Formats: sequence, structure tokens, C-alpha cells
Amino acid sequence: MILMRSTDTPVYQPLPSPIIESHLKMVDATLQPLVDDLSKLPAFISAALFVKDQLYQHEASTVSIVSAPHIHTEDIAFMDSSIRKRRVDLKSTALGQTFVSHESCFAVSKMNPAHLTFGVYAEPHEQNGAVLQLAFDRKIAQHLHEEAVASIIRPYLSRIWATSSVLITESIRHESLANELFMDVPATPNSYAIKWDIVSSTELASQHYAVFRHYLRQFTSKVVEIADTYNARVTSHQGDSQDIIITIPPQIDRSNLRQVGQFGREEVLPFVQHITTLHNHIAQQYPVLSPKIRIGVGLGYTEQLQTDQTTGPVFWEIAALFKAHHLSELTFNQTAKIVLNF
Amino acid sequence: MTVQTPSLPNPILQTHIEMINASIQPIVERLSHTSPFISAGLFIEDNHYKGEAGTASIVNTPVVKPEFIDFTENSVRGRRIDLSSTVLGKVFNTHESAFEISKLDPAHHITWGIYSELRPNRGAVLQLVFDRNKTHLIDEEIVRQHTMPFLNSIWASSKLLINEATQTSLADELLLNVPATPNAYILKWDVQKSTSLVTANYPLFRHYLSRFELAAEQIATHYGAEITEYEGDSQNIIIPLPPTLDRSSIEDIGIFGRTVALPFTQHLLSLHDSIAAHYPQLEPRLRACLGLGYAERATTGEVTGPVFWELAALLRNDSGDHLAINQAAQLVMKWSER
Repeated sequence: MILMRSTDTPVYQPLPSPIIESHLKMVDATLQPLVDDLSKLPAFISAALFVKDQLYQHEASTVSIVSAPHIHTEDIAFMDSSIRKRRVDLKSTALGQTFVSHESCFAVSKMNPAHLTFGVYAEPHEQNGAVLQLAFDRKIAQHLHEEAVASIIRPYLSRIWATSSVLITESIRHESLANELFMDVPATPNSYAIKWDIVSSTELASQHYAVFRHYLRQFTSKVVEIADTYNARVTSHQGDSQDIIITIPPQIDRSNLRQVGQFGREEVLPFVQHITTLHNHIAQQYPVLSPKIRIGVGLGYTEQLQTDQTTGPVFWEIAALFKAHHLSELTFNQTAKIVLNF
Repeated sequence: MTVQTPSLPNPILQTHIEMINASIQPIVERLSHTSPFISAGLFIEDNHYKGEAGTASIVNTPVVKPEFIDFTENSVRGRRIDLSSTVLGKVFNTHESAFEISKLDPAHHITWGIYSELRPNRGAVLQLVFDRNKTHLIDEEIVRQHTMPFLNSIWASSKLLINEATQTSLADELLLNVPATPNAYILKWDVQKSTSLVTANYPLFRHYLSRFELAAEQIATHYGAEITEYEGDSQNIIIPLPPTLDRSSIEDIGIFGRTVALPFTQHLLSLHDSIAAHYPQLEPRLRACLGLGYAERATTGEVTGPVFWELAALLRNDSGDHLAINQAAQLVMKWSER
């Protein structure tokens, strides 16, 4: 007889469960006839279904996107880079307005103002709302009427909500539908991420550990103090480095590059300059070390994991910048550069 | 006279240290003429690092041979001392003065210490070190005679020192290094080429990493290990030497390494390989480093120590091995196999 031994090792399911996958296919299949019908309209681009996530508050997952056969390459590129297989930040999108107001009307897309959107809200399941959103080419959509669009989609809705309900019912067994679907973070940034570390710290620690520790504590505790005054938060402190985030405040329209850039120039850059000056003053007191700091500033999306870690691709991006720009004191990721100069 | 290098951030502390050195000097001069004396040291219990004392001063006899003070210079001066692995700790506990063979350098040193309470729960010990091979020339009565007249001034300067130290830890203010005796095995791992994996497929990478980190946390508890840091694609894990183990015994530390730290490391690596096999799109590879050293909980709450930097350097110089082991860990584990 073979005895089974129970272990702590959980059962791993690194790909979406086959049940969720089959529900996703059903959602795609229920959108297809609607898309076929809407494709008669030259301005029509795509239909997508978004389901609000149970873990990531104020975000929804892009469960399905079905596009018209005639759409342009730039529209495909936008959907693939910013929406497909991603969560969507409801605070910075027209989609979010539909989730909040539950009203169906034309709205210019905030993420891509070349698009005109039309959303329909429903609660296929008491726990999670969903929105069916249609996108149109704004340049040629001037003759479209809301009522005409609504009447085209009306016959398809009950099937779409029925399959959505099955998907949501399955997903609430899990902590997050977005995580089960391996959704990437939203394409819209929610914070500036700042990372600093000390150049050649291993040498400094091996030669003068006690002095290095003293200097590092002086500096890190002061950074925590000044971070507070800039509404920044130190999210990780390891060895010779800190990760810090400055969340873009709610009053700023995250989809507005000008506002995000202005916030960066007025709040983030002064904070970074303050860190640099503070470091230079403290470093002067440790001539035996002559420590040098390098700082990376990135604009991107940061998220808090179930392990309490604050992470996001932007932190890796900054780490890669450090590897590439070894000696530079201050570096920026591409997104931060663009919006700060905008 | 002992000179602290580099100079302390607080010049007043520097002055008090020099006063302590000056008040120990007469004892050193007298004992140097009458016994096989090597050095005198003043140790003060630390306010933050419990179970440890800071080496406030060491004054050597001018006539000693270098080999007799090598140990003191490398392992005692400018450092904190772990009281659980030294005879110094015994004096702090019993408050009794008696000759004791040094646990840290038993071949060369015999010690005699005297305790004083500078302030409630804040003791200090003046410890004298003698040549163990000439014990027939050491007389406890003579030691007392040459020491007692100078104690008041030593304790007075020591009180000034602890009164001046306003920060969380006197040892930190004196820029003291960690104890030379290890207190833990440390395991550090990270994922190779994580930046490319994140760029290629962040959500899948995050999924894999969360699974592995949570599973690592589960097995860590079975081995008495503690995860002290998560960052991005890496974890720092410490496996503290248990209190039942004699930290001054290389053999005991080596056996613990072979029977606990190494199996834990192997378990973690094989756990990773099993999980990684479920992510063929990523094919993530782990590199791990095991080290023996001193891990301290800093006043900021962070667990750190020179060994963490040593492991980081080992990871950077990684030659493609799955597992690298620092020199101290290699030595004690091999030594205990003899």
C-alpha cells in the first residue's frame, strides 16, 4: 500500500484554470455576433468586456476584446499595449465613469482621445459589476447616435451578461480574477517610483562596516523624515537601497500627461533634489567612505502584493537603468522623461 | 594610547574614550612589570543590542609579541562582543572576578574580569588578559592590588561616556563593528535575469514569484529560519544558531550547518525547481548563497550585517553555480566532518 503524506506544498496552477479559460472563450463567443453586427458601422473599432476586480479596488480586468476586421494598425497597437491582458485603472478612464454612474453615453476616451467610447453597465453577479465598452474612431463617428448604438447591442446583452455571470461566479472562488487571468498592471501610471542605492557599497561595507552602517542609518532615517513632508512613502529598505513611491493624488487626472508632468516637476523633482542635497551633506561627515549615491526616478504603476510588498515593473525598469548607467547620479525612465518635459 | 579610527561623529564621546584609555593606562604599566600581562579592555553593556557589550577601550602592554594581540586586534577591538559565547559574558552574569580560560582564544589567553554597574541594568567589565602559557607567574592578589586603586576613575569616565551617548545604541555611536563570533547562517537567493523575465511577462513572473516566496516562507518555519527581507526578486533568510548551541564551538556550529542550514538550503532549491517547472514560458533559474556570520537587528528594525554584503558580492561573482557558500561556512562545515 502506498501511503500519501500530506505536505505544506500547495498545488500549483501557473496557467488560468481550464474552467476559467472555457468561460473566457464563451465570453469571446458571445461578443463575436455583436461585433459582426457593429462592424457594419465604419467608425466601429472594438467591443470589450471589463469585470471589476475583487482584490484591486477601483480596477477592472479586461476579460475580452473583440475587434472589427477593418481596424487600423495603430488601434491594434493601442489595444495590445494598453488594454488587452491588463487591469484598467477606473480612476483615470472613461470606463471608470461608466462603472460609477452606470450610465450609457458617448465619452471621449481618456487613454486614447482618438477614440469615442460607449459603455453599458450591469451587475451580472451581486459581487462584481461589469461593463461592455464599445470603441469608435472619433474622426468618423460624428453621425453616430447613442440610441442607434444602444438598439444594436440590446439583443445581445442578456447572453453577454449570462456568460459574464458564470465567469464571475467561478472567479469569486479566488482572491482576484485579475490574478487568475495573469493580468498585467494598468497601463496608466499611479505613482512616481524612486529608487536609490549607494555606489560600490560592497567595498564600503567590507572595509568600514561600522562607519558605513552609521552613515547609512543617518541617511535612511532622514530620508524617511523628509519623505513624509512630500507625501512620499518608503516601501522597501534593503541594505544600501530604498524604494520610495509618491502616489499621484486623487485630484490629478492620471490620464492627463500635462497634470502628471506638472505634479512630477513640482513635487517629485524637489523631493529627489532634497534627497541628493541631504545625502551630500551627510556624506561629507564620512570622509573615510566618500559615499556616492545614484537615484532612479520612474513613472509607472506600483501595486501592493498579498505578501505586502509594493512592486511593479517600474522598479525593475529602474534597476535595469542602474545597471546601464552605473556612474550617473540621477536617471529617469522614459515615461518620466516624457511627461516631465511635456 | 588607543586611537579610534576613523574619528567618532560625536567629539565628546571621543574625549571620554580617551579619558578611559588614560585611566586604564596605569594598570597596564604596573601589570606589565609584574606578570605575563597582555592587555586590558573595558566593555560596556549595550542599550540596544541585548546580550552584547561594546568594546570601549583596549590598551595593550608595550612589550607583548604581535601573535598575542592579533586575536584582540581582529576580533575584539572596535567590535561588540557576544556575551553568550565568551567568558566576558560570564563576568557580566555572575559579577564575580576569577581567572578563566578565554573561549575565543583558549590557546593563548587567560582572563580576569571585574564588574561594575554604571547605572541600573547597565553594567561594565574591565577585563585583563594574560598569557595562558605562563599561568604560574600570575597571582590573583597582585592583580587585585594593581587594579583596585584605578577602578573609580575608570568607572567615572565610563559613566560620563554612557551619559553622553544619547542615541539608541552606544555601540553604534562608537562605530563598533558586529561581534566576530557568528550567530546565524544566512541564506540569500535571487532570480537570475529577473529584469528580462519581468519585461517579457510581468504578471506571470509575479505569479511564479509569489508562489515561490509563500512556499519558501512555509518551509522556513520548519527549519527555524526567518525571512528577514523580501525585495523584488530576492529574499534574505536567517537561520539563527539556537541558544542550546555553544557559539564558540566551531564543531557544534559546523554540525548545525550540515544538519540544518544545508538541508534547508537544499529543500529550498528543490522546491524552487519543482515550482519553476510549472512555468516553462519563464524557465526561471535561482541562485543562492549560504553564509555563516553575524546578523544584527539594527536600530531601524532592519536585519543586516557584513555577511549580507559578502553574500551579495558572491551572488554577483556567480559562476553559474546553483549554490555558493561563503568561506566561513565552508570552513566550519568541513571542520566538523573531521
